Amino acid sequence: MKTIDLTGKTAVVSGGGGEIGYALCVGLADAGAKVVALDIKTDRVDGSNDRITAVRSDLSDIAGISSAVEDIGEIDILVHAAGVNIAAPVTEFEEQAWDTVFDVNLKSAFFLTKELVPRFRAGCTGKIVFISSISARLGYPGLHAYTASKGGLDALIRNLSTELGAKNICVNGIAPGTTKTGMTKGLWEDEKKCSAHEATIPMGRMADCKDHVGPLLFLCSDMSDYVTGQVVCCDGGLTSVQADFINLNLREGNE
Amino acid sequence: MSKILENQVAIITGSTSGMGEAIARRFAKQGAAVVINGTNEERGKKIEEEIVQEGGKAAFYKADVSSASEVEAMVDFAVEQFSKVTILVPNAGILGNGLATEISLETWDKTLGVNLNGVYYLCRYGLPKLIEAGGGTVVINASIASFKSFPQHPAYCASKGALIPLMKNIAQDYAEHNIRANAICPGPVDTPLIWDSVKAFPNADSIIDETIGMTCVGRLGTPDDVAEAALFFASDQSSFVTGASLTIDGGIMT
Repeated sequence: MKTIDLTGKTAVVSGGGGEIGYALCVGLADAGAKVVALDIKTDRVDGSNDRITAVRSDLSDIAGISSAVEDIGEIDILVHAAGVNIAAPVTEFEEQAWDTVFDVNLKSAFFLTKELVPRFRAGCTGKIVFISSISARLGYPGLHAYTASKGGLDALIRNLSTELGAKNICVNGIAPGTTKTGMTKGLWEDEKKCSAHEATIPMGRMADCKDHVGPLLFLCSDMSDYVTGQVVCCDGGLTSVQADFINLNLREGNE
Repeated sequence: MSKILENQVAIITGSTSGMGEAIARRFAKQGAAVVINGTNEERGKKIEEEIVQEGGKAAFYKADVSSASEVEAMVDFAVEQFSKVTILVPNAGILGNGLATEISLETWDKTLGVNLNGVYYLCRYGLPKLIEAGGGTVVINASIASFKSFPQHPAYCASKGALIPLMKNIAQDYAEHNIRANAICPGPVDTPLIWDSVKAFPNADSIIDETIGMTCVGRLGTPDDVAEAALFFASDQSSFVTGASLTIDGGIMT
């Protein structure tokens, strides 16, 4: 499957050193784009692909974001894939944990956008894609900050689209369903939990990081120039059935 | 560059003009054999010829999608022509405008007949063919009217609204057969239909300009904008996306 050509485009991917983020970097690079991956840990990216450059950056530090993107010239695509999850019951949830989750997941999305909007190349439609989560729509015990930050991202996508359309920039999102990464290990490593969870997904399996590449390329290409303010759920149908009858124990701490 | 709908066979209803025509042409360019459908035979044959001249595969079939037997015959025709069916794009739609208390019962029935029953009939007779083929995709052309009202569009909005849960049901029930179902929901797209639609607005003279001002991107959509989204959902590019609806509206729904 190769129909989308992003040759000549430059993309910035926050969280590009993470599992989903890195898969997205590779997808963009395979489509021909030059990719700058921002992350606090860059070992997955370093030296892995000629078209992907890593820039070390702590995305919870807004001043750090400015300096990290200083040397990046004109861009065509911004992908915000940075995300952290800290789970705890509501009565035990620490303020520091709340702030960390919101700083990385939501605040950095806005300030990266603020920093990079002036760098978007003139003459073609710019593309901003935030990686949200189906947890913006489905609740999970313990994931208070995570789900709220992702809900915030969905609202921010809509809001930015109203202002950035005039600058010829489309803003959209992808809401991955439960994806097999380190973050969800507790769920898919437990065979019983895993099969019970997969039984609630119409397509019968959790997502692989690579499943999110197709929707990303669509939203980063001229195929979607009239699509803005939207979030595409890439979840094997989980949100369309609203995870009916899912046992809450299966959701706990395992988005 | 390889074609992403190679070896696929698509039925696109209401494809003798507007979005349906753009979808048929786009799919054919990407390698799919397409069944073009409508009631305007002359127009349908012309599109068929043009696609074939360009090296594509196409066949026109005249059918009224509000007739279950005609839709069933169209599905059989597709199998006869191209040996299988893998993509269903129920796209045909009509307006049936007027105040809820003033439209005739015939108008209500006809609008629901084309916009809702027509979609169901294509799924009813087409899905077994997709199962036989080992899987496929359903791309329902709904509308932003699935989510919001328009003045004097009661039958249109009701019929389009019903398509989203229908799509989700198909996504849920047929996933085990390797079939995905999604909906595209166009906003203001420059097709013959939109110019009839505006007549129902109290500000018919200015509504198109006002609508453009309501979009984030400052323009009407084109049938090609919609065709690209249909291609995304019909192809493996969206291989883990099912039960989803996507508005293609320049940001009106934000």
